[in-house]
Amino acid sequence: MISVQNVVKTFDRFRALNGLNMEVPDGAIYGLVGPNGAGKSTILRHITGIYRQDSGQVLVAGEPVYENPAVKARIASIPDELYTFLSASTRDMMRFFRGFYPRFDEARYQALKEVFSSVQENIPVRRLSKGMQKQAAFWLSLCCRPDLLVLDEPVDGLDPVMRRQVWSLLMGDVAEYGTTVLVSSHNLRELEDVCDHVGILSQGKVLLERALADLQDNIVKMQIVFQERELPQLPEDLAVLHVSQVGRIHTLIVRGSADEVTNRLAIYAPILMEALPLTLEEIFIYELGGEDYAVRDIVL
Amino acid sequence: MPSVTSCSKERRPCAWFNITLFRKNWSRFWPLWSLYGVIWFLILTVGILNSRSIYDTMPDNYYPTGYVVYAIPMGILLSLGFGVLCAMAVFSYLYSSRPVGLMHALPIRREGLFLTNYLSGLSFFVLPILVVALLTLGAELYAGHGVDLTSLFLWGWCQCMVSLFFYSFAVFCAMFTGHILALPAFYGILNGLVFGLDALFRELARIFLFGFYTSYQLNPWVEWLTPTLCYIDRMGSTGSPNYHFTGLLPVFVYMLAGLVFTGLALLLYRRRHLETAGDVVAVSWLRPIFKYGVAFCSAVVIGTFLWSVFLPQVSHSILWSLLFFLLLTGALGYFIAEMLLCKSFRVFRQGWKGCLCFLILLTLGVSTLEVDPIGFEVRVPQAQQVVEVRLDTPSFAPYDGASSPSVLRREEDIARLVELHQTIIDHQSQLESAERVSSHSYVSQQVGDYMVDVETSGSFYFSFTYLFRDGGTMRRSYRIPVDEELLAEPTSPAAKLDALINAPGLAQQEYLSLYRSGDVLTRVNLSTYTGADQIFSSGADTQLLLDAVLTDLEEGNLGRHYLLENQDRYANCYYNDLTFHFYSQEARSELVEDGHIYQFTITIQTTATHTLEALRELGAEDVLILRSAAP
Repeated sequence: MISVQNVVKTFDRFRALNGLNMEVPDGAIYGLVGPNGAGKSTILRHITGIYRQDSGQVLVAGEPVYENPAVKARIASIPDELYTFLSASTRDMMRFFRGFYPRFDEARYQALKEVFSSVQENIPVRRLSKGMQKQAAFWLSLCCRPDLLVLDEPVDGLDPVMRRQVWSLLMGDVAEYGTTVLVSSHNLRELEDVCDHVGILSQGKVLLERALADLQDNIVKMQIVFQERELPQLPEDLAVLHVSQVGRIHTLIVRGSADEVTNRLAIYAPILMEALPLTLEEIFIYELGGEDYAVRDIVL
Repeated sequence: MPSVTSCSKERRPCAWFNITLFRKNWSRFWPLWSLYGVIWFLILTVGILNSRSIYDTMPDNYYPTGYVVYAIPMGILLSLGFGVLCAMAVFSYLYSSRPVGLMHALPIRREGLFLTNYLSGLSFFVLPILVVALLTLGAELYAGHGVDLTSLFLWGWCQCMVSLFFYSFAVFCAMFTGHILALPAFYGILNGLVFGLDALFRELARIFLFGFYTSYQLNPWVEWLTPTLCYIDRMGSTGSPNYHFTGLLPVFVYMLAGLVFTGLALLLYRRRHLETAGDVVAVSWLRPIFKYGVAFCSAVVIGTFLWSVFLPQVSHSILWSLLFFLLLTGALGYFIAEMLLCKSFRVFRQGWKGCLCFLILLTLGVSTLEVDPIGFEVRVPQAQQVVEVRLDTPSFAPYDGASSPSVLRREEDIARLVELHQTIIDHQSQLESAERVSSHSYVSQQVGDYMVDVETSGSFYFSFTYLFRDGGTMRRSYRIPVDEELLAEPTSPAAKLDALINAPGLAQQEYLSLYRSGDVLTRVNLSTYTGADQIFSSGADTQLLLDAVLTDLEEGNLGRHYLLENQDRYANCYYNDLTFHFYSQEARSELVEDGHIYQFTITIQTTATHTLEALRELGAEDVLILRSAAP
């Protein structure tokens, strides 16, 4: 659905996107994660056709998205910072979007009124709470019937019930209409629950992108107790991302499948050895550790 | 299975115009168009309705034609103000990242956004004008003083065109800034930029170039490039009784300019980087122009102002003090511009190199002006090259028909002026020292039987324009100091100027500049100190006086003028003037009263023996009183 090829974007000599490549399959829920300033919002603004890249290509459904109304009509987005006209209500904004999006579904707007019942559709959106504004944004976006939904920190401000409700609606659209969802968030636990693909951004580049299952299969946490107290000399070709020790228990984060890593460590005849899957948050932290973005022990 | 919804009938979005956005602009910005409409409604419609009570007191055709035509220029300032307000409103989304994101994620091309917003802003003018025109038509019918559709159409058309220009210009400005408050600032500055730059360059040249001529009259191209001035100067009416509108040419020209600005604005918008929302200058190649432009204008405007405030008595020759102020305020302007561009106060570390380059260039420029490498200051033409010299001088006492000589055509006069010019150049340092000192000194002295405040020193501007045989011109302007000592020194500029204005025959030429053979002398007035003029109207008396005056002029007994109101002037000049009234058989454009009437006035002097004799013959000797006796 989305193909970003070698995109470069510079703001006042600062290179925000540095030859970024990214592929989002049709019907995927793609989670975009990365540290602050990695370029997540910038690439989302390119994908929604707001920014023009200095070089490279941003394709949606095989076509350049910039200045392409036909493609943009298939995209709906919820930015991190919402904007509505000064005194416009949700209903006013519905009429506004209806005038732009050929596939705007007014029947769905009426149907979703029940879901977003806490949003008073006739009072100015700016007078709503942050969470309600987010609900209104979801309400309107879903009514555009997009093929691609681009979300920047989408559930920030929503209560847990509404979060689940919103994700449920999104999942339904993905399942029923094949909608592709590209979501940027720092809430990795939530992304882990909903995403099937993940891309990790750092310094304007995608460090890695994979199906979440592949990603979790390719990195493993080993908890291991050796004969000796100290960690033995491990093979040099074993990609160990992180080592820690509590008592006699060593915890190793190793790149590779659980079986492969277990077999390689078995030659040390450990007293105890267990392979544990990593959460997305742990993967994010350990992958970026190699990018000099590790959690540092700070003594104050 | 997808549900059956309205999306099942898919249509392509219109890329070039969106009626929803158009309507949204109308509903969002109703205060603008309604206020504009209400103002015109009050001026035009209500004005016509109120005319019912005062109709009989006004000239014919004033209602409905004159009133509507007179209302046309009122639209200049209205359009100037509302033009930028409407542009700020409809393109306000460009100045913050959030609305930028909303509007540019919509399925519409930039051209579509531009066109829709531009047209909606323009309609804020056009539709209220149309409504007011219709209401005014109704008011004219109701008032019952007749209907003038032509003037009403002209009013509406002119308002639309003037609004088109100002609005388009504001939209053009809106495209190269990313800050909503910078837009009216740029709009205002650019509207008067050419006028301002012209004034700045002339002021700099006046300060640094000895003899540079500064005229307060605008060059036509400066006027045309300052639209508001041009509209105000040229739009008007012929007045009663026809009330024809004048000034269609600027309306047409600026309409075309407005269309050009619209095209340029669209080009800028297409290339605009949206991440520049919030920047003072949104177009990268304009940033250095802005920075150095602000620095230069600050240097010239604020620098010269501070120089004149803090060092008002410093002479022209000590210009290093001015250079100091120019550099100081130039650097200040440079860093302020840098702060605006970088949106930070911490600009000194990265900006000092550019600032240094600017200050070096400014110093070089000022030094170049001061050194005068092209020889502007010392150029004096050959007298043979000059056909005519037009003078722009103050009036010299006595203040009669030859007190301010205007043109030199005779070879000997031109030669005298060239000689004076060369003398001025030779005394450059002396004149520059006096450049900024314009005080006049007076002393009470006994003149005859009376105590009089006589002028002992002063200075004044003396400007002249050479007209060369090849059609070229050369203008110079100098401030010349005058005192008794300088007047007594024959090689001083003051003495040379005194000689020039009292050259034989020059006064006669000035007095009789309008006189043609065959013109009829109708009467002569002799002014009196105590009351009404004494009038001589019989042919013999008037001819006697004219002959006497002409003889005195011929012999050089009359027409002496003085650079200072000194003792000589008081002792030699009478209070009384003779004014000769003529009637020309043939109508001439330079004359009054349908081109037939003119007059000249001459102050009687003690040396004018023939004139005094004639007055004695006519019994008018008693009313003569010396200037010293009538201070």
